[in-house]
Amino acid sequence: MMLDTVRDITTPELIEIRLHPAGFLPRGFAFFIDTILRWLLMLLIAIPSMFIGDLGIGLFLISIFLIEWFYPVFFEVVFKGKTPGKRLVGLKVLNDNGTPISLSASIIRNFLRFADFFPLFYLFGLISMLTNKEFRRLGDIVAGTIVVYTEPAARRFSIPEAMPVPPDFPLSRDTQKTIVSFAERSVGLTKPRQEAGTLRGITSGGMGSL
Amino acid sequence: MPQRYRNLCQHLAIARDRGYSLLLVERLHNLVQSGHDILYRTNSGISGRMLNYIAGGFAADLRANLRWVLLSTLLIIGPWIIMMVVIRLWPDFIYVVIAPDDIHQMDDMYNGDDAFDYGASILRDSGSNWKMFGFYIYNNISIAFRAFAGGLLAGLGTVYTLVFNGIHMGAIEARLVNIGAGRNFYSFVLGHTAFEIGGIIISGATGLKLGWSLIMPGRLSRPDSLKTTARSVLGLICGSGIMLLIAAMIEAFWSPHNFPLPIKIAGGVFTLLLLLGYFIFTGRRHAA
Repeated sequence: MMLDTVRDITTPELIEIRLHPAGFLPRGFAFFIDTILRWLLMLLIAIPSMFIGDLGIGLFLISIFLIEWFYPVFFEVVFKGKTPGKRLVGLKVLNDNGTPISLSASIIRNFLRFADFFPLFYLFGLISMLTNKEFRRLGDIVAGTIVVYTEPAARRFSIPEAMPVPPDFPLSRDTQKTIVSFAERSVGLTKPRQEAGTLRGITSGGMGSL
Repeated sequence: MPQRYRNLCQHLAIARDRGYSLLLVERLHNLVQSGHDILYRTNSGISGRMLNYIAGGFAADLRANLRWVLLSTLLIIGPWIIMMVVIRLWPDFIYVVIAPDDIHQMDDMYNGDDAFDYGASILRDSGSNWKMFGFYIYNNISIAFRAFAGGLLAGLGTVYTLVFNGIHMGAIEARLVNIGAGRNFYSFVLGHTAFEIGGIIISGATGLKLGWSLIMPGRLSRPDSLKTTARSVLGLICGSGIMLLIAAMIEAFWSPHNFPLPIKIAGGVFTLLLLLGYFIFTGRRHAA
């Protein structure tokens, strides 16, 4: 359990919410999608504006400016921390206290993108993400934001049918969770691994040390 | 809503405490999370806050950060004056600073006609004005935002932007005066100088402050110090963006006109006084 990158946040109601910070690859992928979308958007504006001469060029330059600096800010603030790319990959941005991202935080983290890009191809941002245990780039650190996986909607467990055998010792919650998630995955595992997993799950569960 | 949310939190706490089924706990957890998202969305009143900021908060903010603004001014004006002096004394020094092609282009732009001929010097048609408007917005405001972000590189990015622009502007100004195009040049730039240079200086000041808070975080941890500083200068950045927007408007639609030089000078002085008056006199009540 401790191997997971998990951030627990205590709300004012003293309830803990669990967040899963997203690493470099999914974020890079989301950024890639966003970049392509931005280019498509620019292309979309460029084509009609070519036909109205200098005025069109002017409008095009203004829209490039807006798209370049405000595309992520707009989506993050209006669509609860999700740019289209992040939505597709299943990520969202939050303030680091777990609340939805605010306008000022969004502006700061996106305006500082230039520093993350420095000197080339997001090198500083990458270093920052790799050395930070919550995978935050420089802009995230300064803005106090965090990129997390969106929680999938609670799903019913699909446990293989079997005769329930009550254990003769109480299982801790973590153990229960492990066993259930193992049961869920067990369909896709090979026979030997299923057996090994069953053994380990039960025995070390008894020690309460999983 | 808050009532029901509290209820939900209580349910989750009980379910966790008594070790109820995982399915239930997970479902409650997700409900609490979405409830939390809705309840703690930083709420806006954004237009009101913006108006309030424009009405004086900006000026008050600027006065509170006066030393950064002064430092930023120094970093841009210093190289500017040095370049002016050097290139007035040794005109060929310009070729060290700016590429020859750019110089010739500049010469042609401002020296196409006789400097005293108001008939047809640098007047453009209106579509062209729009094109330049777009260009000034794209180019200048991007420079300003980058000057802020450059602060995160220990302020070096900001210092580079300021000094580089200072050198560039000083060199061009001196060059155009050298070749006798001074009249055209001043007629063009005076109107928007106050807003444009002002905007760049202010965004430079934000970058410098950010850089300094990284180098000297004081009693805070570095991330915290950066966080506080970035929040505190955010208004100034947006303000400088707006100033550059105004500058772009003036530069595109007023500066290229061929009004007599005294009128252009008066326009420049007017905008300068307007800006100074705003920064000095408004927002006294905002100061805190």
